[in-house]
Amino acid sequence: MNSSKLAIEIPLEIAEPTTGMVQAVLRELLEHVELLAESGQQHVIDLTSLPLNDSDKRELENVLGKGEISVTLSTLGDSRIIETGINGIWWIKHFSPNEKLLAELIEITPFPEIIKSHPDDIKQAVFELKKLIEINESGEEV
Amino acid sequence: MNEIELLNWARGPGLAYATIIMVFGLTLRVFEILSLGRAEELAEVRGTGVSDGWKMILKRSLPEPRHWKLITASYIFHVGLLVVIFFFIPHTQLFRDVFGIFWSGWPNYVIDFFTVLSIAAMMYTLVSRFVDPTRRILSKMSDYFAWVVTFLPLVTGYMAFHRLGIDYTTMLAVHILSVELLMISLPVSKLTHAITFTMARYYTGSTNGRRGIQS
Amino acid sequence: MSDNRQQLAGELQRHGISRRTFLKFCTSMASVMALPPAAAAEMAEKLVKIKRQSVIWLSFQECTGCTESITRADKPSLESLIFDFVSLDYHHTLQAASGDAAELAREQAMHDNAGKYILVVDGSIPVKDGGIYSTIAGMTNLDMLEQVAKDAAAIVAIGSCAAFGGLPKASPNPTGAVAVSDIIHDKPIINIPGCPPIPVVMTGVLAHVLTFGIPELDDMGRPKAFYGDTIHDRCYRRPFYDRGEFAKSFDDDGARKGWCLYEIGCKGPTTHNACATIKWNNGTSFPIQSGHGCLGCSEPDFWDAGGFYKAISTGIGNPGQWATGALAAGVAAGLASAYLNKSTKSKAEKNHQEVTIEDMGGKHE
Ligand code: SF4
Ligand code: SF4
Repeated sequence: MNSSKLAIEIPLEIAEPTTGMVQAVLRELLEHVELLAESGQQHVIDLTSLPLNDSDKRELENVLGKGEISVTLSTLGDSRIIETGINGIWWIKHFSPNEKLLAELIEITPFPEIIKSHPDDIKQAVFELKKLIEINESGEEV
Repeated sequence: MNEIELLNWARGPGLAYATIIMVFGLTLRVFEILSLGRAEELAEVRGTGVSDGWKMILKRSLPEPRHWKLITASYIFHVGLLVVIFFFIPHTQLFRDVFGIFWSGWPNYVIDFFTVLSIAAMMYTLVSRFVDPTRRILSKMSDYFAWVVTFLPLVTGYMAFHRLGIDYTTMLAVHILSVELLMISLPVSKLTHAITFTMARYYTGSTNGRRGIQS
Repeated sequence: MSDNRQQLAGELQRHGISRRTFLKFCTSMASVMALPPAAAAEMAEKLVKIKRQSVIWLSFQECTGCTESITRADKPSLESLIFDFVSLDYHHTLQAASGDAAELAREQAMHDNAGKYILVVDGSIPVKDGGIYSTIAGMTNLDMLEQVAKDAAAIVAIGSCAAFGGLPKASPNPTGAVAVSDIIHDKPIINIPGCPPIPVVMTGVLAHVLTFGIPELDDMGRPKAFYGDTIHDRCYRRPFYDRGEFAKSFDDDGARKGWCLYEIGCKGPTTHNACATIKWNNGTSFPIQSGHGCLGCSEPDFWDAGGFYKAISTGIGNPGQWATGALAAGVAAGLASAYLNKSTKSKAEKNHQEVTIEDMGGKHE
């Protein structure tokens, strides 16, 4: 039997035309980058809260471009964090363990909070590292 | 009662009552009219009057040059109503469910066009009732009532489709209820003409014919 | 301050959750509930500060589908993290204790956390014949609900049965099933309808209740963040609806092209739920995406809202039959009235007397 004949294609997503909102978002981004430059004020935009459709988001991503840094956070699914072509604008995508997008954000910041090692965790690290050294000295297998 | 219960009532018991009252009422009225019979012709009969009857049905459907604006407006909303009622796709689903026969509906933008046109035409007929002194005197409460119950389904349907005003579920319920009001009004108001107009015209035409009056 | 921090570090560590995982959880919860992004950090802070919130979960006339939905997300999922922040003190299906011990645990929790615990209910409550149709440990559901609700801080009605009566309430409703809100009137009730509800909707609402209190609700007690839009508002097949391109059956050309499912019964236009955006099975798909219309499972009385495969514009019941009946009655009544007319007419004719000039007092020449 000709299997190609059996194949039924049901379009799952319809590529919507862009809405022209991207220009407005870019202007909003400009305001926040100015604030960041002048007073160091940081800001987060949740992309799902903006009236952007998927085509708009891809257009915005293209316009901003890719910068020099891209980080993958591996915890309960990956999170991809990249600095866009514009310094100070970071694009963050949180994925679930099965690769579904949970949240998509733009952060206007020198460095996204979630990447930093937290001071408390660093304090905890002191103990852990000491423990590691002890174990190592005693010659046990790690 | 919340909005979905209202909708379910409109689609269920409400529709049942309206259908029963309408069908029963209209059938009764038709029988009543037919059983009135025809007045005895005292003069010599000059023909069967059959062709004259048919001619009248047609002739009264043709436009007249008198009051051409009003007549055009009436045309528009009568045709518009027919199109909207019978060719809007969700309506065709209802008819298929009730009568078991299916015909294809027309695209939404066509229906939309006819709806807006009909609403405008109906507004014009209302305004002309107010503005024209003769028509104002001739208009009775029952005329305005007929106008309102015909107009409501049009606007509520339009608003529901375009998600205007209140939420869709409520609007849809209101639309269906307004149609039910129209259905109930059919046998008890001048709107009965929707089905008796052919009978009335045939009667006038054939009577004229039998009397030898040119129609 | 540093106490709280320690608490966070300790609490998270105890559960083997890293701070970043936790932040990610809060960020996606905030995003899914359309809270401002800053709320994520606040939520994180608050979630950790709360003493493990006592939750009592009562299951009445239900199918356990709601519990399945919330617990069977493939683990470890972000959604299930919420269970690490509550103390589930009573839940038939999930608790280890049984019999008297289970009921004791419930009473203990009610006593220890009076006025502070959250009551979660799934399933409807039968009230006919004194509520005898469903009992737990010899106590009717009705009594148990009233007893436990009395000292609850808030009630979360999970699933269409608890929220609106659901399937047990379907006509003819043999057990007299009602919703929680039909019985309890003096406590805040959050309705999370759905048959079952989407897991993340349940956990999202719980997270909100734990951190920011009761979310904004609509007139039916549903959180607006999840039930504010209809399926149709967010449906990807909407352009086809707007153009009037409808599948006529499940395997016609239109169905293959992914056209709108309105004509084959989709209830999306009147159904408030988040399926079209959040989707099911960890965001894999939702009914309309797999070619089946929405059943309207999260609306009241969805079971009695006409055929699942009939358009919303059709009647509920059998309009054709009503019309035929009315037609027959109309014909009968019409014939009767015709007969009446005729007999009045002939009677009138019979009684008819010619008036002569004499009658009028004149003389006939
Ligand atoms: S498939 Fe259903 S929800 Fe989607 S557009 Fe059609 S009617 Fe609306
Ligand atoms: S698509 Fe409709 S029927 Fe299906 S789960 Fe969602 S609300 Fe319920």
